[in-house]
Amino acid sequence: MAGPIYLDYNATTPVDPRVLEAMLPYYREHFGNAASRQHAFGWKAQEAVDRARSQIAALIGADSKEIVFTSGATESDNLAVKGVARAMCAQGDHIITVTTEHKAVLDSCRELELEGFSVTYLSVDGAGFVEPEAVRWAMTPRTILISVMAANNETGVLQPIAHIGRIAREAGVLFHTDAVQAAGKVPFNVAQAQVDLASITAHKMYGPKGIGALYIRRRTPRIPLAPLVHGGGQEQGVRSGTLNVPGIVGFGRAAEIAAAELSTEGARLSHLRDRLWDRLSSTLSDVSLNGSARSRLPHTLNVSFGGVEGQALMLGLEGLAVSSGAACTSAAAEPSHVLKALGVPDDLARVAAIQPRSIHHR
Amino acid sequence: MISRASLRFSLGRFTTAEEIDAAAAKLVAVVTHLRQNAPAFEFD
Ligand SMILES: Cc1ncc(COP(=O)(O)O)c(C=O)c1O
Repeated sequence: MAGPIYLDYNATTPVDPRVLEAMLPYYREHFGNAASRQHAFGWKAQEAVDRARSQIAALIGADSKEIVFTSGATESDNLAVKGVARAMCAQGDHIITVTTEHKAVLDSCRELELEGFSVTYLSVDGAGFVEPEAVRWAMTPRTILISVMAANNETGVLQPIAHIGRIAREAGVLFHTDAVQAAGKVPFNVAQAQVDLASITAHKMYGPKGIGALYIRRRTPRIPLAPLVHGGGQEQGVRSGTLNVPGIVGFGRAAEIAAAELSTEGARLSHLRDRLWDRLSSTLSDVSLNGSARSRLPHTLNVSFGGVEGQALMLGLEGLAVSSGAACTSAAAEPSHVLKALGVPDDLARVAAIQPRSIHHR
Repeated sequence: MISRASLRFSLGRFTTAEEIDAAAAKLVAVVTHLRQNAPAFEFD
């Protein structure tokens, strides 16, 4: 085998050659601005954007009009969390999320706390799951948003988002999910999960970096969303800025391929993933699986090795591109917030789940 | 000193069975080697 072995697809994926192929003409001859209404260059770009929008919508069971392009899922998460909170501050000031969320959600919540919002950070059990009923218990009349990810990037654990979606819909509270790691990998349908907002990004599904989307459910009245970026009024005024047409085209093609290959690829990868785990667990003593083995992404495996030091292990594994979520020894850096959260005993987690971490009422 | 290291393996479209076998062999060799060189730790 030539070169290092890449086993870090949750960090990013290479651009599929079919995706790159689709993108190239939009850098060369079809370079127009999708907002140029007066000439063929603009029309050509707009056409391509429309096609991509429906390819992406189809992947998650949405309508094209419900897709807003962003610079990636970090922006989508920021837009969903801060955008809803700031637009709804007259109706309430409380947000519910989970300790194992991506930093894009957690840090957006932290920012909102500085602005006077209060945030409940629900704990997870030892397998990485949040208890849907804990979401219900945490709700107050002031709750305006619930944000729970579909699949965790570190452990691959799939949260019970359909259950949480039902609870949120019943209570009339908006529900956002970070579906970055789930979309294109496992069936993810916005209607089935009853989500109002969902963040996705191209570079986790063999598309280019720097292009993402936020699904915003169409309903009457419209979901209140304060834009983060102001300017030309593109994307229904929700996200200004000249559209990244080649990126969008690549995202669309990537979504189309992912949808077509989802089930065969999922089966192939879960087989390989299990083979890796079987080799490790049958040959080595003191290895343990982090997160649920039952409900997780087919291609993700998070393992702890006892009796080895993180840094030494990473050094020894030169030639293997993997991510060390947690290197926890007395000397090493902080373990990952996700794995730390999984270590919380059930009873403690339950208690923490019903106590808002901080309350700054305005 | 008890130490523990955690790794995330995430596979994808271009991952092959050969790569998985090579990765498993490498991991087993490295972990075994590191444990042998950490005499304070008990393992079987
Ligand atoms: C769960 C999750 N959310 C959000 C992001 C951020 O996405 P992006 O890199 O497109 O900003 C990532 C990946 O980095 C992720 O894994």
